[in-house]
Amino acid sequence: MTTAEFNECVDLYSDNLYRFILKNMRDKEDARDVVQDSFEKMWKVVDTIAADKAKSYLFTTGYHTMIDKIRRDKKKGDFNEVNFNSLQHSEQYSDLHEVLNEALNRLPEIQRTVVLLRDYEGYSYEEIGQITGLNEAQVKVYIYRARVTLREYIGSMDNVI
Amino acid sequence: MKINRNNYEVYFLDYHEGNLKGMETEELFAFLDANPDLADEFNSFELITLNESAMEGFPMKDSLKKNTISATNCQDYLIAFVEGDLNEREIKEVNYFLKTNPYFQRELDMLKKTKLVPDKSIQYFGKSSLKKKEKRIIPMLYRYLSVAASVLIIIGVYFYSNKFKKDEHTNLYSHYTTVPITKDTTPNKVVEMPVATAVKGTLKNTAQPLIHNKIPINPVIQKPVIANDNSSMIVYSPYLEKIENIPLAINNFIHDEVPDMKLTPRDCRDIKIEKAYVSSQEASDEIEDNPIIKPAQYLKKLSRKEIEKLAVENDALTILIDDKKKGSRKFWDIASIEIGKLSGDRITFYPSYDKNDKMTSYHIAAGPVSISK
Repeated sequence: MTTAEFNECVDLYSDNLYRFILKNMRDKEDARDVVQDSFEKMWKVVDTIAADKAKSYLFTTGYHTMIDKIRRDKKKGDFNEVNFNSLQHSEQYSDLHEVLNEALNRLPEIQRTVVLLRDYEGYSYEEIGQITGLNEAQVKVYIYRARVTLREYIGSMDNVI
Repeated sequence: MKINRNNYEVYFLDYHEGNLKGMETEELFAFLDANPDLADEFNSFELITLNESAMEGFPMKDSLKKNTISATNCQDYLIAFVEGDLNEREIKEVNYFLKTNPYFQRELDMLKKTKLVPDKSIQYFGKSSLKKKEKRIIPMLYRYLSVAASVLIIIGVYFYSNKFKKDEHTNLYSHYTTVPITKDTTPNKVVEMPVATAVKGTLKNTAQPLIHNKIPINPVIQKPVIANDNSSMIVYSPYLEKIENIPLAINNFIHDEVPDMKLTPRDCRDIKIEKAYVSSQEASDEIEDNPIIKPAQYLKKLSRKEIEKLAVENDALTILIDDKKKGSRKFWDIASIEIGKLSGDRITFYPSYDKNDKMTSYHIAAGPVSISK
């Protein structure tokens, strides 16, 4: 990948990666750090990466950098359990987008990660598996569970909105 | 087909299964009468039938069956529908199910709402800080430049660190310019004066150095000076090995006091003239008309090898020096040109030679400052 292609990647993918990380970490500064680290890591191996693989490399690196940072900062909660009690709510929401955001925040991190990669970036189960280190079946299960959780949340909000 | 010993088994079987007609039965018994050795086989031939009820069925029949969408499993189907995981047949089944069970259409709508849409207003600000500059390929010329600049700095530091020390021990600080002038002036006389102040027949001894930095060994680097009167002056010095842009006046060319004997090949060898001037149209005409000595003759003596072209145009005698004829360009030539471009001043590098043509030193000059070593 040339320097020009690297810079093009910055234009094309930095926003996407930032959104993905921000939705997971919910901290702008942390998200910025992760994006910056990810691009710096890619720059170090820029000569060995094909331009068409750059996005996948960025999201893989970004995901692992984020996980490392979460663990380092001890912000990580239970990665696999969903607290259904947390789905009970008393907040007031004005639209579906806010409800979904809130529901997303309540998902276990791994479910949130896979569903974000699926919906935001349109990745296949296989690609999500490559980024997160899960197998295809696991990815599918997490996405299905996330859908059920999100649906239950917005369903329970249906009468509130 | 007629019964014989090669096909009698078929008839035996058909007889026991009741498939033989009257004629065929008679034929069979006639065959048995003719072949009594087959009677035992015929009598032992009995129809064996398998009892179907005695066979066990496939024990995992249900596992082979494919699930069909139902009220109990429809959520999985609907999620798969939203995710785009269903094939064409399954999509048809789901659509049929929804048609027959319209209540679940709402469930499908709710699941569709769980699809997240990225918020485009969230952007990463500071993309420019992530971008990298193109890797530059440094041409060889710039490498030369780097080396030249480094050498220049080293020489400069060395020179300035020793300058004042030398000032204390030597009296070679002034800039000597030998100016042979009119008949009553001894050629090769050493005077200290700026060239432009020379006046015909007299010498203003201003004792003002041409270059103000007092360099011990001094190549004189002058900008072109146009004589604005009839001053008879040639700037010439046996001590200096290069003189650039010598101002020439008319009398040097037309009178026999031209110090021809001083212009030996050795002395002339290193004289470099870029441009010379005569002061007026009158002088120019006089040069053209005077048969005694022509500018070309005189100037060729100055530098027989280097002068490429002599021309009198307007009021100026132009002498062009062909540097290329001196041979291939050297490191210093390239460096001086490029540094000159960068600095905006003309910077020259040139060597000095002794009588045996051995290079003794290098000179570096830029504008009013020159450095020799």
